[in-house]
Amino acid sequence: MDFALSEEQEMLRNSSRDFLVKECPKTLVRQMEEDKTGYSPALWKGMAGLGWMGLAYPETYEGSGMTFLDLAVLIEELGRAIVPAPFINTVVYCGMPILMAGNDEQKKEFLPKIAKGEMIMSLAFTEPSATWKPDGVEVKATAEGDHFLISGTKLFTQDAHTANYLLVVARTKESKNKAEGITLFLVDAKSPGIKLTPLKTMGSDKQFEVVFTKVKAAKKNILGKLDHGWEVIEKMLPYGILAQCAWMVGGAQQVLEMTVNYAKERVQFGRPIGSFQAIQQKCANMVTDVDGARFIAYEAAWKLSEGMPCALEVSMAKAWVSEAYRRTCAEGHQIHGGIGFIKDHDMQLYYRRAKASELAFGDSDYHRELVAQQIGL
Amino acid sequence: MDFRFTEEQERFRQKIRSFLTKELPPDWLTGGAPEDETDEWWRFTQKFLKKMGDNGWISATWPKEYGGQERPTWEDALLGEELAYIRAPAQDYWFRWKMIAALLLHFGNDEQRKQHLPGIASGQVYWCQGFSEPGAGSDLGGVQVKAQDKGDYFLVNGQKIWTTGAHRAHWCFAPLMSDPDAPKRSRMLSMFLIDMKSPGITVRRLESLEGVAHLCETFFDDVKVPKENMVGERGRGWLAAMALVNIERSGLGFASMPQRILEQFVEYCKETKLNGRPLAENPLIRHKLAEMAIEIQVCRLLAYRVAWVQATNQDVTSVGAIIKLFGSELMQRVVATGLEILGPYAQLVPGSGHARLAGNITRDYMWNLSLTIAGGTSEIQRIIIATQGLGLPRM
Repeated sequence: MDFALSEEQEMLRNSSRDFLVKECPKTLVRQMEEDKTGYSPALWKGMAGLGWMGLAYPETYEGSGMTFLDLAVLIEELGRAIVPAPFINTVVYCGMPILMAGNDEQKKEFLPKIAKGEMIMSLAFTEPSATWKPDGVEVKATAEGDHFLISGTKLFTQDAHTANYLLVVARTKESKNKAEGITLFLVDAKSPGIKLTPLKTMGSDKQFEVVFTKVKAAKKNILGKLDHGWEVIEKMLPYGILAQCAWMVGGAQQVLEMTVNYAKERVQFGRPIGSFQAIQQKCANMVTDVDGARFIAYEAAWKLSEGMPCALEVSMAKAWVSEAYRRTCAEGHQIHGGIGFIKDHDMQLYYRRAKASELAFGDSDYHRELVAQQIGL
Repeated sequence: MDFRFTEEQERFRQKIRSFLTKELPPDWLTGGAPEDETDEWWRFTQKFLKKMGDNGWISATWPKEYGGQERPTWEDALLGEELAYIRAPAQDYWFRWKMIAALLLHFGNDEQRKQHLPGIASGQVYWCQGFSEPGAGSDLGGVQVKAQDKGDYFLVNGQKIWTTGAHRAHWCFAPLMSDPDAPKRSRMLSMFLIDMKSPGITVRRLESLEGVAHLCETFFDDVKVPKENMVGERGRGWLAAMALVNIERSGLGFASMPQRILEQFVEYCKETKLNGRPLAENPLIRHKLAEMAIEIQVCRLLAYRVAWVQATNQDVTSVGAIIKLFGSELMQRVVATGLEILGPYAQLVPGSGHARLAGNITRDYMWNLSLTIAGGTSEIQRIIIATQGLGLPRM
């Protein structure tokens, strides 16, 4: 048993932290909240230059051939800096399915572009039914000649406005088993018939309603097998979930550190508030939550990375980390007092954004039910 | 990062498991265990502890010079995990052996080691811990029991409390006030080994709410403790006590005890019907047990982290406090949740007709109040984490 990062991972963590402190200050995060695109092409280019997008892709596709565990270390740093960029969406939600299920041509077409920062992608999965289960997929794709016509509405689709391609989860066949008859399509985001309407979110991240009206998708743009798309989604989910967990661990760590520093500096009644036991008790709870979140997330990521079965650990991690992050933000706010909820302060950025991660691919209640199934109930 | 045990570690775990299967009756966890502190229990416990000694498990990590095998500290951690899982008898005796052995190995002199370590290794010489006093609980530095220097011995007067197992102990290790005029409180104490047969010692058993009387008060009335029984430097008893407290707090058992309870409840909820349907189908119960499983997983990792920190010789103070805090509170949550699931049967104690799960969970509900108090309260752990772990200023 070894809880330490490898030397390589330490280097990755340190260099990414240094880079992001310089290139992704909170002024940029705030600016991007107001900005229409929501990301900085210069920062994106810089990240690509460091090989981050292709970190866990094989070298054949211009990647670095590192592991998913290594990628989790990097994503933790992105979460710490709350980097406003379509990174997880492009690299994990869309890139991983291409890597796992794409044909040679698709892999050669998409992965090197993603790795070089030349391709932004967005997963168009959830719908107004707001569920992560296959029966929530009602957007239809109907075959017509050498292509399909996609119609219906996707909701909570992130980064759809800047994406070059959408990975669309659509129903191609009605069947009793709702996991059957789902197909994944790589759809040019500028295709006629796609209408984007921005949603106003608490996290000021860029989420959209995406309405498809007879959008053409060529048959060659099916990712994986016709009607068997759900199997690919199921394979991607643990990666997506754990990417979010690593992101939340980074955010929680940053909130903890900001809060402890504040408690050391803020003076009331003639002494730093961190000397008061009421504050110390809260800080101790925070670090317990953050450490627990870190280990449960990394154990699952390590198992996934090593190719071990980990459905139980993945759901445990998502359930725990989501709530631990929320609690950490809430305690952090309580200790910061009034100043923490002023827009100029960094605390509120984490608090507002934590919700989206908590919800991604199922909240704690959703994953607790999956845990119940896994432990034999 | 690697969250695997080595093959060697797994083999060692299997060895412990087969030992426990052999030595404990098959219905050990379902009513077969003798009632705590009865004569039958003590006879059984003595035999069990001696067998642990015979297997070399008490002394496994010690230097060869003192009869140990210099095994990695991980093995001690795994042993603790398995003992707690199966609720082996008298684990507190085993734990105190770990503490006193560490005290002797780190702070003792050669003669003291030679005198005491073989008895500890044999599993037949019992020790109690004389730390707390009526006026020194969370504030352990407030120890008042006096050890007056009388030339070739110290004269000890005063009262200790929570000297668990003192009524059966041969020896006691205790920080005492030897230097009341020292400039700093932390320099006033020295650590002593006290023969419990010494004239002037009176032990009074305290019965706790679950009906077990093994917590004790120990009174010292002009007790003569030979000079050679002082461990380590004079005036450095506080330092030694703090090092031992770290050991006390960092057990792997914090996760394995609730793990066993979880497994019992998963089975119970599959077998038990309410209104014609298994409890396991009730979404609320599924939610509760899943949450239990998740928190146990977090606890296990926090515990393994401590063992890793120990194995790699890093400072264990803050991470030990974290597992003590999380583990003790988790056990209370798990047991409280278990009782919720039992419904009206939650009231039935061991030995009662109709008791579910042998009444054990109900007994745990009473017993586990002590978990968040003994070895440093949760509030003290949080202060340690905040000040020593996070560097927040002291009061």
